[in-house]
Amino acid sequence: MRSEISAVSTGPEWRDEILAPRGLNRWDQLSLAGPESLHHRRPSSGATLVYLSSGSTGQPKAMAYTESDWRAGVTHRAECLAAVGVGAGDTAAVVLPFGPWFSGDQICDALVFLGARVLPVGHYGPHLPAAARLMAALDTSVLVTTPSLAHLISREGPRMRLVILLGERCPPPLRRSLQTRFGGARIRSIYAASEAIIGPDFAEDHDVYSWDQDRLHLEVLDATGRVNDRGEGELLVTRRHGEATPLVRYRLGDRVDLSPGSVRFLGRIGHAFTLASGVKVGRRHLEEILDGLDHPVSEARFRVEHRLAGDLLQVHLRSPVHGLRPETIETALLSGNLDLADAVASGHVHLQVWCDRGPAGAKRRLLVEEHPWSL
Amino acid sequence: MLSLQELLQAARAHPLYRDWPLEAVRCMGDPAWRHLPTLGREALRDRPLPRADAGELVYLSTGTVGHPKLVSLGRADLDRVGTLCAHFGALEGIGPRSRVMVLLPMALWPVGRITMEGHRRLGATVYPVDLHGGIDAWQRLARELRPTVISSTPSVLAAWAPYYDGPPLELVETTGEPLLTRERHLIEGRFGGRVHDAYGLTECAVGVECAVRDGFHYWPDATHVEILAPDSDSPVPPGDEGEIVLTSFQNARLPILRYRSGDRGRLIPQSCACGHPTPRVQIFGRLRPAFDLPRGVLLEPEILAEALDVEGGVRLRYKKGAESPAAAFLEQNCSPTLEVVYHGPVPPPTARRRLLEAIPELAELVHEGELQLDVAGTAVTGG
Repeated sequence: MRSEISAVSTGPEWRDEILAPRGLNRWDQLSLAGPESLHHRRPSSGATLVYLSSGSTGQPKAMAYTESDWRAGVTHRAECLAAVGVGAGDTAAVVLPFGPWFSGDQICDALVFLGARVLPVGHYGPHLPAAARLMAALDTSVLVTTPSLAHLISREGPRMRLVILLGERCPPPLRRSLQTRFGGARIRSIYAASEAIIGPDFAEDHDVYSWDQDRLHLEVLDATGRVNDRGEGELLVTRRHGEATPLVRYRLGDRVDLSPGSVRFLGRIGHAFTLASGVKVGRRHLEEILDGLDHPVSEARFRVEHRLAGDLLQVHLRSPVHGLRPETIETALLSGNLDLADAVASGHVHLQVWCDRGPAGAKRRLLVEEHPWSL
Repeated sequence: MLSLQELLQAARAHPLYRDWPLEAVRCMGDPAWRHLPTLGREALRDRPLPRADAGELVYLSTGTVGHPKLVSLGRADLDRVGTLCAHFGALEGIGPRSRVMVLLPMALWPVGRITMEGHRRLGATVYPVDLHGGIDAWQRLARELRPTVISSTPSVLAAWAPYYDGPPLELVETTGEPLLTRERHLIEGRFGGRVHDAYGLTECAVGVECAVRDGFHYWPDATHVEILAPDSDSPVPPGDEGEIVLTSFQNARLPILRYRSGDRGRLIPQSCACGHPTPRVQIFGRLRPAFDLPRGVLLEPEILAEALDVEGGVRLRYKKGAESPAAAFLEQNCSPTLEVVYHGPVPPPTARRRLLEAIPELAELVHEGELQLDVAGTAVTGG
């Protein structure tokens, strides 16, 4: 895809590091790349670690690291963690997925780099009560997790000095609730996706993040298909380091408002809902699942309820013909999205599916509700 | 690896060894060394973790009842364990062309992380998959990733084997639990690669099988292995069976000296037919019985009883499945079952919740359908 480039988009100061290996001499000659560029990608030689991310597309994307990529990632994450207040002497619990969906290991390495004691907990639902007791036994002062997992952990009543949230936006009501439940903890966020770390939030404004112009170059693709250095649109990420999985003008799928040195997160593009542990499900993925069923569907209703006992995902489909079975829908949902299947198997998400007869309609209705907040 | 002097220096600074006469030790196995006490597993369980002055990772060794048994690894410790695991992989034949799918826990327990570290050092491409998702997810990932090597526990691989339809493997690594001959044959038959088993504890990685598969090769600069009488600190005659007692040159943050593994074994006096010069240790099983649950989880009866926290007696029974050859056709219908029967006024749902909340390994197995847990509060009638 080639887009019209705004006059001011001349690229970062280190643009030659990106352009020269590609035989280009102007930043606006670079094509845009989407998630499909990472599907089925074989890691380059020298890659020693490969993680996967399926996110809202349901198709695994391979994120490979050479040893030098890994070190660069650890350093960047460590700088972000330091910026939100982690330091030597802290004891931090990392309640995030560890392989294959997310590099909890890299967060752990970054925390160790900063001199913290680290308890790698993972995100396995049945572990959480025992993990909470371990956190208390180790005098854990910092919790690194996703907003929805923080919500689940908070029922165990641990006190924290600092809670660092990643992977999802944390809406203000949830933020206030977490602050209270963790005994007055400071709640901070880091903007990071499987593909790239963007940066830490500004303490006074939680949806605005700083970014390091020496490591990243951010642009936005606006509604007219024009690439700009500032303003609203889909975030395009160019990463300076990342030998095994280069990201150049990569469409992250996030809607942002970009300014020099800062970026405001506005939401996911085509996003339907986010489940516990950060599983993001897109409308396109839901449409694909409905298209793949053997029976026509006239109305599909997806209702998510975020609860302390784990998220409840209710799926209600109506079909004008007989024969649509709940187990078929459940299989299609879970086999089409491995990290959703993982969240269900891990006990973070309870799935209820039912179907009945409904009137035939000219157009299928897809309804999505998320309560009591939308992540 | 740490030198003996570095290890002793770390031990002198550690509360675990406060009363040990370490000053007189000059070299491994000298009289002063042989007069040192041994370290029991309970010493780690009842010990709070000393405050670290630098970054470290903290892992669980067993369940989380009471004072959990924790193991801390600094960055340099992780490098040393990773180097030892790279020796394991090199002996097995892993190299830069290998694509390794690591199907081991990546958090809470260190086994996945140190396996990954070892293979990274050999230049292999490593996919840290963890155990989540079950057979369907592993199957799909194997088709997607096209691994040449899979690292996991024998029981995970044995459960997956009948359904495996990924590419034939070059080799399979097993660890974390005893490998049965039947499991080895099943895994090799279905996955297509030779199985190399590795032996180690959370506290100390030890060794790996070569192609000859007669005992575990170990590297004396990383692990010192002694065989002592189970009820004393005296060594058994060379080649005789006794308790395996380990000293690790891998971890300075938690020095491990003369640690009683609880495993029975012997040192093999002959050199190996494979020609590798490292010594070997043979393992015969546990000294004290523990429940050998699926996925390599070893659960001691006293941990279960402690988690249950009832005043009366507790009777525990574990049935692994249809073990009689005549009942092989029943295997699909027999799941491993742990039965817990106790005296006391605690309602069974409360007792069950206590067990699951206190022992995450148990919760995971029950949740994923690997183990049936039957809890009843009826009178104990013996047996």
